[in-house]
Amino acid sequence: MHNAYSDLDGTAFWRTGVVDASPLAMAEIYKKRWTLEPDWKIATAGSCFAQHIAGYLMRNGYNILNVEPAPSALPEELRRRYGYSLYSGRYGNIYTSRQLLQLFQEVFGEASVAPIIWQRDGRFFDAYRPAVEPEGLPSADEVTQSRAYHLERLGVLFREMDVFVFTMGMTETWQDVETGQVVPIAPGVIAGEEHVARVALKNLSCEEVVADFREIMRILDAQRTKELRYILTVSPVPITATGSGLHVLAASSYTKATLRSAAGTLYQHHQAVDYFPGYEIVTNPSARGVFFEPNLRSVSAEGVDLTMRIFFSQQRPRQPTGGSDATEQDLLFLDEPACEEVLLDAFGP
Amino acid sequence: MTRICVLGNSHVASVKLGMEGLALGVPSTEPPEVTVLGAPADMTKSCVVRNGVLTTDDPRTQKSFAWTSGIGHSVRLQDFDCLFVLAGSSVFAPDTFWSPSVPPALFDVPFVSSAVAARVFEALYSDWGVALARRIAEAGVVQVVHVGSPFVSEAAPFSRTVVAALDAASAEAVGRLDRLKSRLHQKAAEVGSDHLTFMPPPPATLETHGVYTRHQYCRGSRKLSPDLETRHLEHDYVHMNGDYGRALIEACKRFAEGSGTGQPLQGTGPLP
Repeated sequence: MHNAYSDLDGTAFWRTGVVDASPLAMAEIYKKRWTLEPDWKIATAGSCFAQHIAGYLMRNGYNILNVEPAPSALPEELRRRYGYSLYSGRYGNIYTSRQLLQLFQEVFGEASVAPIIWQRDGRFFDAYRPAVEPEGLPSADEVTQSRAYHLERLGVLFREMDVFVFTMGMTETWQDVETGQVVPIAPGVIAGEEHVARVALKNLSCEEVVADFREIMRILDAQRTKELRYILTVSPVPITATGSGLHVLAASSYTKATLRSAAGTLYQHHQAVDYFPGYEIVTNPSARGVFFEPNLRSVSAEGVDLTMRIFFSQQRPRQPTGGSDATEQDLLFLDEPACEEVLLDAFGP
Repeated sequence: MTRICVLGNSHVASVKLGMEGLALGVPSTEPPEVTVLGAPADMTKSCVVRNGVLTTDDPRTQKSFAWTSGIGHSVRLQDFDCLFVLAGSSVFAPDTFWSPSVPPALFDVPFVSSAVAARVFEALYSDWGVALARRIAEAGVVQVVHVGSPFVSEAAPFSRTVVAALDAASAEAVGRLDRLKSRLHQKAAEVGSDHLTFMPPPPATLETHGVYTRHQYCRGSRKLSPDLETRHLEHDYVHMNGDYGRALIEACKRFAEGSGTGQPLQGTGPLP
């Protein structure tokens, strides 16, 4: 009997697409919406897993922008520690769509974003990226100067880029109850114990994530004169801890399902958006968790490598020609991404 | 007469050429007595101080020291007012704070926090040239001054990008550059000791922004060889010529005299 499923190929069915398929041979899971052209300038941001994507794109000859490269004399082993060489700007991990939206609003003056400066042991931290100066700075004034320069550079980045690659990480974020501003990690984890009572957990819904991203697209459309494309991914890394009151497994499932749904919605409605299913490749049930490290969070080198091989099966690697705007030293090829969220683990029982 | 020793690698060729220039010209002040100990690349790493004598056990370095000094491969440190080390990175080079990979259109003088600047300085302080200077200074015989390699020529491709950007820079960017220089000078002053100090290149050899060497001091540089006849390639932007060497010797003399008499050190600069 002929029906809507009769003519579909094996990838449309769970048995042939997943059960009988090797998790190492899932190339057909990604069909690019458009081709990354060699001269397109790419900016990357997102949660920890995004660091892998940036490194692989750069190593495969793509033109990755880096507007805040590390000082040439700063030893390579210190660059990531100070927030360099992770992404196209020195913004550290951007876990949520709200954090990303806030950054775009701040860069382009679309909304009043009040600075938040945390303290620890007499040192001062930029609460919007507290990990990029691990010992903090000696004065609040220096934090302000540092942020002003950072925003200026991001203005250049966001106007120059042709493709924005963003890895969605979480829905849980900590929001200042007075200003509504969000911070990437709860105050008191890295610094800012004095701000603990000033924040409340905000757990974004799918609608909010979609709305945040659409607002980002609107801002960029208004501020730019050239076309912009987006590649969205969802980090397969489960959350380290939850402030939601739910069991962490349930909370993590909510986060990932919400982000996956939001990414799917954006993909369905915007031709400029491509979705790369890195989340599905790593969490594929047929892999039986083999792509996770023993902590069941970190993605193994094999998992990352497979994910990116599938990406490059569609978006062909370029021969590095020296034409990239970032050198190998600028964006490091990572074994283990820099991820402040794992610090939450220390607060568990 | 001021007596100085210059220890270094290929960059001492400019000093040798400068000595020739000083000998031929009519100096306004009495030129110093200069002893040069030079050996290519990082061969001077093999230097040791034994009983107040600077020497090396490496035969190739011995040979190189012998012809560059004209007196042998060992010197008594107490015979000099100052010993200048021209090897490794200068701790004053502002371009250590940015990356040469930035595309020209995107270059700007970076904001570098005090914490990152401190890490950068620590890296420069650990560099082999400074380590060599520190080792000699620890002997406590003579004042050791680390000069390091000259700043790159303003004509190098990336230097041109930076100079063009600085020519058009905002007041904020100029302020950032001044702060970067200031941080390096401050750290150099902090880590200096009774027998170890740091000296930047002669200010007159630097372009307006104090970041690169004026190309007139680079053009026609020669290789470190006994006859000093072989020119570096035209696009060599790191080695300097005899005019630079002469300016450096004069700066070293002022430094040594200031150091020896407790007068202000006139060789320092450009301070922001």
